[in-house]
Amino acid sequence: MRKFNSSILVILSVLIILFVVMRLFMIPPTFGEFGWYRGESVREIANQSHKFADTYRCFECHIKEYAYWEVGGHSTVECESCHGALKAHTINPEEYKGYGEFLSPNTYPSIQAFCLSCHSESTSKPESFPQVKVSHTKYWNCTTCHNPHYPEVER
Amino acid sequence: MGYIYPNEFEVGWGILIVIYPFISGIIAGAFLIASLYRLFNVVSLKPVFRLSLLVSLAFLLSTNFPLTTHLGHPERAFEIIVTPHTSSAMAVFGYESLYLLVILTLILLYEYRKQLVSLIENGARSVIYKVLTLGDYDVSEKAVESDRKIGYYIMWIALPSVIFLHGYVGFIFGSVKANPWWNTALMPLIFLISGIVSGIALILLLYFIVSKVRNEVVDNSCVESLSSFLLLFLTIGISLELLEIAHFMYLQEEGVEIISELITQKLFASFALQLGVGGLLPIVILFCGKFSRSTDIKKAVYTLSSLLVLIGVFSMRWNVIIGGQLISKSLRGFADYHIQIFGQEGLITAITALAIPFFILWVLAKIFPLKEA
Amino acid sequence: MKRRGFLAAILGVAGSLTGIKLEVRALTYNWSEHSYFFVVDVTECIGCGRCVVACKVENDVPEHFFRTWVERYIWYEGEIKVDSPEGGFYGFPEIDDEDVMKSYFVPKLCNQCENPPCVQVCPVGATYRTPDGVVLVDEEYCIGCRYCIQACPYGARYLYPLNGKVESRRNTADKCTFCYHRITKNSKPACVEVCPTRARRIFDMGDEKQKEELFKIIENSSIRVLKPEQGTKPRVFYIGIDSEVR
Repeated sequence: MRKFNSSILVILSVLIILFVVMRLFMIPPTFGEFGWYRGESVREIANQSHKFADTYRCFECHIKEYAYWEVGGHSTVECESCHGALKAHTINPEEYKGYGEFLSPNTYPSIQAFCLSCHSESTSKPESFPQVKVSHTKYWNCTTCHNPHYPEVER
Repeated sequence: MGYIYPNEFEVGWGILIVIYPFISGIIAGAFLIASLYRLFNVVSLKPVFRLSLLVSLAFLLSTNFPLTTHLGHPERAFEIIVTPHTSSAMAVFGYESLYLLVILTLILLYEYRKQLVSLIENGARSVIYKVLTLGDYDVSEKAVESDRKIGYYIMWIALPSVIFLHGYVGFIFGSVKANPWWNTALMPLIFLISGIVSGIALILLLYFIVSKVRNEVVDNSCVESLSSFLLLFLTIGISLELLEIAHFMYLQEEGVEIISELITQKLFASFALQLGVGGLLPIVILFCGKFSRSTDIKKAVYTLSSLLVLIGVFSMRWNVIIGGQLISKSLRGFADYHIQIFGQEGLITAITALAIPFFILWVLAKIFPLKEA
Repeated sequence: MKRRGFLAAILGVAGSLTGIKLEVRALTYNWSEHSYFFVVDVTECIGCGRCVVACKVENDVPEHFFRTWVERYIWYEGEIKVDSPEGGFYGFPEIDDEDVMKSYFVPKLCNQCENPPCVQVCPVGATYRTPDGVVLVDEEYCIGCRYCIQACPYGARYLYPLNGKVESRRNTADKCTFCYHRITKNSKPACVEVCPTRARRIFDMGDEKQKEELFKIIENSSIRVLKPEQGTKPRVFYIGIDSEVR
């Protein structure tokens, strides 16, 4: 074979072998553990930290609230729906109070605005859902008559 | 305008992804011209044979730049050849472009070896030439003939690969079923033909420029063939593009309202550029130019129509890629695309991406002479 | 309140009385024993946007982008309007209801398709579907090509922006994971946890009770998925939506 052709063949084979070897080294260690992806990635995602806790954790301390909440109309609403993400509070209740968490009443301009974030009247809402006119809250503070943990008004 | 899903306000594929198929389309056109001469015996194209080869290589070397710079993590780009996901259309790109790079380089080396050997003695670049000839200085008739033959067969392998490369670029978009404006089997064909059109137009234009710069006489029969092929492929291309729109309009499937709004309002200007100024107009003037007896008029007509065609093909890429992302997948409204000046995907990067192939071409032409000895 | 939640609450109260704190969580998680389905009941949704807020907090979703959002569909005579101001984060301003024929809220999230186009198109294997039926993104491996964002028919994916809080996630594709870090530890996804009307629910087919509950829902109501014509086989089931919802 001519020198030119043989040199080209040699160069190409060297390049291909180099490529194959380098590729082997560049594949991440857990790639292909479960499929065409990094197996480690599943563990990384599964181990991300929680910001919301579970409702039952709240009642380890807040028994009084539980007693009201469990029998009232708001029992379908989990604690963190109105108090915000409080995983940090369950870990260290003394240090982290979490009063300013998103979704908590403190992040709304007033308690009326907070209640209206769910209960304002709207044509788009299901009819069975209790809704109030904004005017109803103009002169009244919701918590004067309603206990948020047990919203039914006792007569 | 209307309703879009909240995440859709950001157009993910910007101007760099418009430039990528524009550049890769030119490879298809340029290489087709080279093959027409070498494989299909269109002798009149001889003066642009080497230019076409160099253009295809220069543009192939430049496709990576817009693609990698648009990535969120360019430093991870190698993953596409390390762990290519076999179900993904995009994963082919890494291997396909590496393979083409090898093939085109081989064609060039076999084509040029004889001349490079003769250049070794008389120049400062003799080291480069010694490397490029791989130390084989045999210029006997037998050796040169064998080079020619090997180059010929490699070109037969390269032609389908080049066509596949650009058809595949169209497939990347045509296979996105979520997007009604992209989702058509015509897409690869439209991309391929318009790519060929832009490649021929660019070769024609470059041939004029190179002749002018080097004070050489333009070969009229070569220009005539080039413009005829341009006219032919342009007609096919524009027919396909009109066919695609007719197809959408006639089927009246879900999304037809938003597509017609896109064509007639949102992107009307660039559609006028794609089909009118860059499509029907060059067809008409090219056709009329064929009847002219004055070579000067012909030259002016061909130059103008090549420019218009390049603009038209660029608008076509724009209309497909940007246009497709302006349509909300809720089919209820449009997003907006604002091009930045600076930044990773800004105008300056875009101009750089467009300039790189011409720079590489200039360097290549310094090493590989356009004229045979 | 459903029985499981009740038991958990009792457990919490008992724990506080006895001074024993119980950690209710699976110690080992075997994904072949789980399979998740999501049910969105738009007849219950009140458009309060708490799910959007909770999702943003739990998953560090940056401003203007959404792993989940709420849309409002409004039928007027002869036309349908859809809006979603800031994804429903602040709730929805009231519309004047003179000509409104009907209207409801539609929460959207990743459909965790059984035949996910996003996974198909990822060129490097940075997004994948786990055996328990959740599509995840590997933020350490994603190259940020955005092909998956283009391929998703539901607009559920976005490119995590450079001003996002999680550094490793920047410039990679991001999407809803059903709060994979929560469901694998026996917690509910953040949006499900905070939904005040139980319009969002998740069911684990690996749990006999939840399986029965889901079957009951399928038995009693008509279920739709979004864009079934795309062949994606979504795992998010909708109750009470019209065909105009897409």
